[in-house]
Amino acid sequence: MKSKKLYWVLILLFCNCKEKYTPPAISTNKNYLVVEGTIVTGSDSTIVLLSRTSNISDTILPNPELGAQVTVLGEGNDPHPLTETGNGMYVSPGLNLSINQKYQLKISTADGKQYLSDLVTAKLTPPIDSLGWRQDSDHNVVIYVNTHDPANNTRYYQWNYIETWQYHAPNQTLFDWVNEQIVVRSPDQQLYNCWSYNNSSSINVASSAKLAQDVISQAPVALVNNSSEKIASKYSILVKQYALSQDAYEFWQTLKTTTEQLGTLFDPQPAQLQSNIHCVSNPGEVVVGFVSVASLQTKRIFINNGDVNYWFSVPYYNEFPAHLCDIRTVPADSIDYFLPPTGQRNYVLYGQPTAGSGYLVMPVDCLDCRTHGGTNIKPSFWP
Amino acid sequence: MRYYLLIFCAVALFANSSYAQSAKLVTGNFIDVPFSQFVQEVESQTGFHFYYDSTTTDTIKVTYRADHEQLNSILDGILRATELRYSIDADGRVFITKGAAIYTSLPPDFFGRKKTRDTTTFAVAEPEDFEKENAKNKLKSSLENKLFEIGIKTNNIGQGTATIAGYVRDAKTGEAIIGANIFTEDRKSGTVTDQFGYFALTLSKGRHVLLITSIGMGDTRRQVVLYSEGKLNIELYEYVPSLKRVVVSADKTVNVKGVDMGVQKITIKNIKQIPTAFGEADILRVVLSMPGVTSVGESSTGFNVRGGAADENLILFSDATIYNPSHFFGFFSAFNPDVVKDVELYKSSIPEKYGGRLASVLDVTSREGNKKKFSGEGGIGPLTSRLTLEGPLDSSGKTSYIIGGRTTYSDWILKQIPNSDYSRSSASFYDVNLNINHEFNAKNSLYIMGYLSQDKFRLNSDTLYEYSNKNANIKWKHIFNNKLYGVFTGGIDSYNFAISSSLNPVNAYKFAFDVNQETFRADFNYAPNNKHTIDFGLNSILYKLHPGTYTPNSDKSLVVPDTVQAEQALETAIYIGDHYDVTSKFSINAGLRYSIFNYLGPQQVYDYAPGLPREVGNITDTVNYGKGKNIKTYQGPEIRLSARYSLSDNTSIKISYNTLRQYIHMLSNTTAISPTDIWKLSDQYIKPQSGDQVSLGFYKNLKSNTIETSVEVYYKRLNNYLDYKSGAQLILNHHIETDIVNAEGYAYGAEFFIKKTEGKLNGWISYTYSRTLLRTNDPLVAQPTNNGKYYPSDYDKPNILNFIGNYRFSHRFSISLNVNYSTGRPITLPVAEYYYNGSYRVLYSDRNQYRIPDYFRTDFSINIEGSHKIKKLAHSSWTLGLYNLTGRKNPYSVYFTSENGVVNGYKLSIFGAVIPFVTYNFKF
Repeated sequence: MKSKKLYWVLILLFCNCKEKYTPPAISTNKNYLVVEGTIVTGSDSTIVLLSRTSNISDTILPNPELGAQVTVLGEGNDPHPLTETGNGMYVSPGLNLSINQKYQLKISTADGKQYLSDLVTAKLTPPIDSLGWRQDSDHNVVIYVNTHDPANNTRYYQWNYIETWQYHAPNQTLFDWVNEQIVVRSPDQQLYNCWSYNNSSSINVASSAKLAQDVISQAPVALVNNSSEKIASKYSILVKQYALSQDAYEFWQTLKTTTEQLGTLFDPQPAQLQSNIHCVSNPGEVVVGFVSVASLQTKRIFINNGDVNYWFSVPYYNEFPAHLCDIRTVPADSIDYFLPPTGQRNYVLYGQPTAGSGYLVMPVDCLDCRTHGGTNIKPSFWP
Repeated sequence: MRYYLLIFCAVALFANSSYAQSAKLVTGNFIDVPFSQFVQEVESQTGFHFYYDSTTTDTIKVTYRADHEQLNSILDGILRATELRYSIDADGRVFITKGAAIYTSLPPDFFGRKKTRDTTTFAVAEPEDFEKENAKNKLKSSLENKLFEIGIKTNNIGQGTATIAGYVRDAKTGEAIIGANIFTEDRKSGTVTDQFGYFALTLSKGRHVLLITSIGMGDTRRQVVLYSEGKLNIELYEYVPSLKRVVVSADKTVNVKGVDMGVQKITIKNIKQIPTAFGEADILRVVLSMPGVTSVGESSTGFNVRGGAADENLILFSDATIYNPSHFFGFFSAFNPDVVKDVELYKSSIPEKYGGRLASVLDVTSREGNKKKFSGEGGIGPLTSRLTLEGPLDSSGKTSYIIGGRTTYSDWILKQIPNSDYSRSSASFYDVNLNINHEFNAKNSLYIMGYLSQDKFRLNSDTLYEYSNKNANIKWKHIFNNKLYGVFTGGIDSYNFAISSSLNPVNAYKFAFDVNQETFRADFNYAPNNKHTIDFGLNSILYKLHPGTYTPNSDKSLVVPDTVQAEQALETAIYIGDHYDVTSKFSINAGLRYSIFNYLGPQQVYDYAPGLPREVGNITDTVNYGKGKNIKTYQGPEIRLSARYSLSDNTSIKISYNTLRQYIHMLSNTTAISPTDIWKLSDQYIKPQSGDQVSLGFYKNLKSNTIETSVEVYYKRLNNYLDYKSGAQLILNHHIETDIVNAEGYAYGAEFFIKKTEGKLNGWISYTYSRTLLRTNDPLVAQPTNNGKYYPSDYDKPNILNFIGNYRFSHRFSISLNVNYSTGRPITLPVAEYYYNGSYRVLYSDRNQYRIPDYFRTDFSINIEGSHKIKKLAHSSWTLGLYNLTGRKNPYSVYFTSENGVVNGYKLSIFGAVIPFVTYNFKF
């Protein structure tokens, strides 16, 4: 039910009265284990993230849990160990587990404690039927997913996504300064076109439990704000779909309500999350997280700037100070200062003057799109 | 007859009624002679001259033996057994009348403009009011000085007691006055009018002076001679405080003299003086400013009385139960101020006739229509408009009606906001009231009320929220005799809400909830003598709830209809209570209510393995009960005791002890109750809530009773309070018992109250210190809230200070100021932060261990009334005001939310700015 937004409307009607609030410093030193990850049954890799909770006022975040042993156990105690790759990440390539079997996660932390998840039945995720998008009343782009399970077995779904979009630098250079020489940039050295990525940060779950058929119709998964840079040129989104158990769905729903949907007139009481992971030696210890077992289904779509209406993106470099991107003519004897052979370069070679001597350079922000956060490597899926 | 009276009165004006009677003695032996013959004989012997209607006397045969006897004793003798009465004026004229003796003289200053000796002298503020005021004053004082003879007049006043009964009404509209005090001059006996303005007072026979007082009305007195049982109807005039008035205060002693504790009464007139956010007089806002009442926030519908949850208040509107007393998600109360007469909140001594809720009874009384003339009133405000019409239905003035309606144009305001989200949203509400009352005769009256309120809110052309109250009842009051009367009430109350969506045809749904009750009450009041007043009766409520129906809302919808089984139950209670004046100083109210609750079929009930947590996995059996079959019975006595001891005329102490039981509960796991919260009956797993309260109070009136002060302290226990498991599913849950947890709590507090009732400046200041603490004590719950330790409730606000003041510069101009301060409400703050699913998130631990910043708000309003000329088409008034004068951003809540991967903390205020308002009110 869409009640949340409703109450916002009411509040906004009377006044815009939301102010930043800094809570009193609460130091409780709760140092609970946080377990995130889905055991993926198919050929896709399984990634488990381990971290610790930290005090609200702490600035060092996240707080990864290092040096743990993480293993996926089948009912027959068939162990599949995961490899620690740093930053609290524990990874295994495709586990190829069987559907309808039960699995659990076993974690032995560096401090010698053992954690076990409940045995969870592996769920088969049906494929995504289609991804679509529409523009809402404020011309934001809403990306939605359609899916169904003909066997009516899945009922609870979760989606995560990765967005990718292309943008370009204010100016393009074809040249580089390598070994005191002008060279033509190869395509993989180009600095003009970049691609940015963004992972979903909010919880997207839906259920068809109240419907006669296991059909998810137009469930919104992502929203691109109107005139966002993301669709200034070309945009793509990869949606990952997982089937959930009812317990897992309730966990995600509670987490969403208590961490994303507050600030209404009728806020729920903050509830404790029901985890399915327990400390073996101390069952009362709080563990944050819920382990699911499911196969993964993905789908990707592209949206071009020409497809959307009322889209008036302002390029990021319009914010640059005036004259920042003026071409500087550098005498030959000073080029090492602007383009040092080693170390950080603040300028990029733009070319050579057609008359006279020296080189033309511009500040790196004006020629290198990577300074805006993206990568200049064209993704493999990009057309 | 009136014509004669006037002529003779004029002649008799300055004469002395003890006209030389001694010289005119009668002698004669009359045996079975016609009355006319007797008259002839007397006239011939004396200078008396008789005036009578021969048709009323022709059946009378006089048998009397007189020997130099005075005429009045002879007439006493011969007319004793008849309906005839006589009076003799100063000029020796004898008037024989049927029924009542005519009054042969008027007060000495009837035609004078001299100040009367009466206590409620009116000085006059403005010339145009002079004549009116003076005329009213004359009429009033003449009634006050008139001797009313009650019952059959006898020559000698007999021994023993007799009961005097009647109605107290508003002289202007004929409307009953509730809660008026009638007591003897010596204060030894007294009573209070009931909801119909009816009273019965048993006194020793003989001469008495009755004092009659009521809030908002001028005090008056009646001189009575009580011969035998009889009637006395009293009309009171509205009390208009005036600038130059010399206040010789009469007796406002309810708070000191009454036995009840923790009762706050406020008239609509006071309510209308208090500034509110949108200029609309709001009953619930005023209730919130009373001591002992808190709420979780300023837009909230719910109020909490002495630590009770929001569903523990019985809200009665003309005896109809209102389940949702608000419009527009709590921004307006659902009571049209023009139809409301007054509001009474019982916090501690709840009369035994009421039951079914733990914390309080809020009794909203609606007005009766004007019995004398057609009139109307209304108002135009920034968000709402209202119109009320009333008048007699027949010429005899026995039937009157009042009809009131109110609606909003907030829809129009939404459309003005240049944002498509709002312009495609719509909001509307209205309410309609209708009251009809009819007096068949002196012993039988009928009262009919109907109430309908409806709210709709549609967001973004999609999700539609609707809720509605529907109430109707019919009351018949029958007076058996002066000592006993009964009121029989039958009614239906209904509340329903629905949420529907049809934007996505596949998911289009409608969710609906309703609660219905049919009620029957028989309430009797028996006043055997002047020491005892006994109330007894029977209440019965048949409940029918549809806890949730989920249905498809379009042809293409795949929604599977889902209906949670309907619930039904019968709640029956019998009660008896006695108000006993042990001595003039010591009175007690002792009441007992016995309630029985039957949870009835048809119902499918799950059995759970004993001793194990109630979870779906532990269901062992399913039992089907047939229609009307008793599934579970709860019953128990409720005690209502209070006592008052007067230390002096204006000082008393009171003590009370009350127990209550509640069989219907609101399920809500949001901090503030919302219009989409459902109600649930007690069943085999959900036990009735129960509670008891002991309170002690000290009351003192100062400055001739114009200032009332009181201190009350209380301690209260709550059992079987409802709490919920984490992530509880309350809607469409077929086994709600698996998500509900039993809790208990206690509350205590001290309430200080000073009220000035008269003068240019009136209003009140209250300060309350109170705490409410709860804990989960359910042995079947593995992870109780806060590990089973006591924690503050959501509405636990220890310090609350309220000031409400009105200063009247003249009849036409007054200002009001309202100041509220309270400790911030408790809140659960996060204790830790972690990264999960692409975002930082917060972790909560113990509930309600911190508080939001304190609350402070001041409101100001100016009331300007038109001239008071009586011959005007319409009387109008303007109210201008500023809500939240200081513009303080009072926090409603503090919350943390994950946005774009990071946690942001916010403080949310609802009225974070000064809100100006103007309303125009009119009356005709």
